Amino acid sequence: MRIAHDVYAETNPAFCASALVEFTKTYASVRPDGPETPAAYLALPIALSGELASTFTGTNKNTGLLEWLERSPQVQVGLAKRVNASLDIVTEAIRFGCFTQLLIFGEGAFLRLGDKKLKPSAISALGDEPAQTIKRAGRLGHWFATAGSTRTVFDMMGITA
Amino acid sequence: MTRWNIATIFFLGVSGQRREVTFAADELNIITGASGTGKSTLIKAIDYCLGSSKCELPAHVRRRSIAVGVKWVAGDAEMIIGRVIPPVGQATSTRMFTSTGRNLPLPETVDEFEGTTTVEAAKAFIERAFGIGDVISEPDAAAARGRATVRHVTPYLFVTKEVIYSESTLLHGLEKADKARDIIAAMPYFLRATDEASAIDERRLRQLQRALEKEEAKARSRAAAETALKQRATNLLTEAHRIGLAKSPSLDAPEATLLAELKTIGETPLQANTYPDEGELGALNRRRREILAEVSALRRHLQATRTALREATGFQGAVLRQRDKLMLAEHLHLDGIAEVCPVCEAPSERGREAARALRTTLTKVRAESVAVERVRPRLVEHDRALEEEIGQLNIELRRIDDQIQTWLRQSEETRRLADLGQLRAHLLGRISFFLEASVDEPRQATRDLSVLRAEIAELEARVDKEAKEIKLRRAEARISQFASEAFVALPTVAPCIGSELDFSSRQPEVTVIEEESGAVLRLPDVGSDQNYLAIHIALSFALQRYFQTVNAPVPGLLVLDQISRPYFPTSGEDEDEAEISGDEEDEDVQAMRKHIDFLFSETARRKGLQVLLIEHAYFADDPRYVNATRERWTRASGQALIPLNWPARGDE
Repeated sequence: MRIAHDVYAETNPAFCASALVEFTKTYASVRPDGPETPAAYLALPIALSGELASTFTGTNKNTGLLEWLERSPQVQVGLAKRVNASLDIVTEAIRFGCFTQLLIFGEGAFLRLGDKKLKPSAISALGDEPAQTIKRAGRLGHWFATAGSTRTVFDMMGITA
Repeated sequence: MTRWNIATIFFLGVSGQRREVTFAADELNIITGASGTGKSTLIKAIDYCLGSSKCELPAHVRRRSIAVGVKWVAGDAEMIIGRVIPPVGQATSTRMFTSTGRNLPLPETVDEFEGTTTVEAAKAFIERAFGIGDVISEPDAAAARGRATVRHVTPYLFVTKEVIYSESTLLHGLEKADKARDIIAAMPYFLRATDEASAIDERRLRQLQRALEKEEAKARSRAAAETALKQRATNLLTEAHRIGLAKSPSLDAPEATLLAELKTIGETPLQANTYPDEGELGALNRRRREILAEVSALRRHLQATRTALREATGFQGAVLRQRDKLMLAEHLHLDGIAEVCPVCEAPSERGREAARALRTTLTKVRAESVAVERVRPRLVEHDRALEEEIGQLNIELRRIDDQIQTWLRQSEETRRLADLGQLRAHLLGRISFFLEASVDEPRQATRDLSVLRAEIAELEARVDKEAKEIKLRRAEARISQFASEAFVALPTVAPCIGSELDFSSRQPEVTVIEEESGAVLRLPDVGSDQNYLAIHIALSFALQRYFQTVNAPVPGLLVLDQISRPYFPTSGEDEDEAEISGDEEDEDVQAMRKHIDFLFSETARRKGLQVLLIEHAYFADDPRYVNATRERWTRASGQALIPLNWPARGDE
């Protein structure tokens, strides 16, 4: 299947990788080990979704995952389908992140920040919409980390691996 | 269905200490001890971890511990609910922790708690675990009366010292007027006289009935307007015919044809010099298209939400939801023997390690998550929000349509001002005015009334107020029967010997039907603390037995705070544990033994029922009692709920 150009622009590996970097960064700020890879597969589709963007309004990093899910139940409608549909995109993003050394696929399937850093200017050069996506990824990183282990996060979202 | 029991209640100290009190599920558990050792604090701790608004833990506990937690178990599903204890002088804390799964380790410190969240979200979490669905009451009723929450479960769990032999308060929490109302309103739900599905049906039914009324009123007014409309339309057409704009009208044509003819006349091209800006119309039409797209998107969401709702409530609400599964393992090809790195697909040792690590992570997620969520109550709210949004969009759509029409009318005007026959133009104006007046809004396809009526009929068949009443009565009858059975086995004095109990959920109240005379006695007429104690014990066990038979979303837990109260009235506050071992037995001790026998036999009989007995008396000569005693906090042993050597916290 050929991805139409504009969809590809929304989901290109470089962009998704930078969202993942943000996710990993905020996650590691709470739990230094960094997120387990499956958590990334859960977070990225939600961050990328324009449809769920509105659920993030009025939240901050202290809102917490459970409270957010309680406020916006629509997140859980068809979540598994959403995640399953974007597995490839996330894998591509992890791959790209590892090749460009932004991310390290570390011991025990943990994701860590790599040696290279993203230029802040690159992010700020993005339009408002993509910048928001990155921000959402960061917020999810924080929530996931404060919620507990990957298992707890999956549990709260009502899905299993 | 396994019922929730408590496995552990634990307190965390300032510097990594942890005090656990462990209980056996499905059994009678006894805690004995001197007064002031924290026996009743256990009830407060459970209540606090069920999201009570105030922290009622006594000061000496709050001075030494920083968090409290309760581990619930149901089969192999586990749930740990924790909450931060506020320092003395602060009313409460809103930080709670919730996690579910299998083999959950108890946290050592506050930081190890999983699932930090707020009290509100935690309550919703517990409700889902217990299976308490969201019963939306009358939308226009003040606040959410009748919405069952986890806070309305506590009357059936705790028989506290205020209640256990009270002659006025039947259940824990009913002594507080502001809470009692809601507890009573939620009772039919817990007695299974109503359930989520029927509540949702009821709401839908009300909506549809309103819609039907509206549609019918519209149809009536349309019918009334039709004749007058036809009259005027014919007039205009004849006029148009006179000045050569149209053919002569057929008199028996239906209204729609007449209107269509008028429209075509109205659109007669007349030369004009100036037209309003075309761009505006384009913009309006664009906006209109956007709105239509939005509406259809929202409809899709609504559909998805409804499907999710149906799934959540479709299986009588009691069936476990299977969790949705992610295809991660298949996606990363972890099922086979991984030869390559799942991420970069290069064959390497590191890659193999990574694959292994990923596999263990996923296995852990799969093995330890338990499907405890059943009903997604909030979806109902979401559903309503979506409907409102669609309504809003429809209103905007109408507004846009109006604007488009106005625009067209303006161009009409310019045409009229062009020097074509004034008369014609005038007539056209009149026609367009008439069209506007008669077709007040773009004729939306009216709802098919017969479909609506069919839907209503179906819902009415399902929602049956009388059936609800009958169900409630049956529930009361069964509880009365259970309570009477238990009552016989308990020690009582006249007038209660051999009497039956009758429970009503309206007040709620229990009346005693005397044997022989059949006299109906209200509680105050009964007298004697012994009788009140027996009535409370019988009722609480009867309710629990009923909950078990109907799979009500109430945990199988009953906490009794000192049944010896009427028999050994405490003289002072500083009473030590009273040890009883077979010397001379007075009546009181015999009566107590009868109670203990009942507790053991009843708990053994009911599957999934766990009883916590907090007691002053210790029956050293009863092996069952000795075996069931989990903790003894006597003066001699110096033990207590919170060890006395715990350091105080430094934040007061």
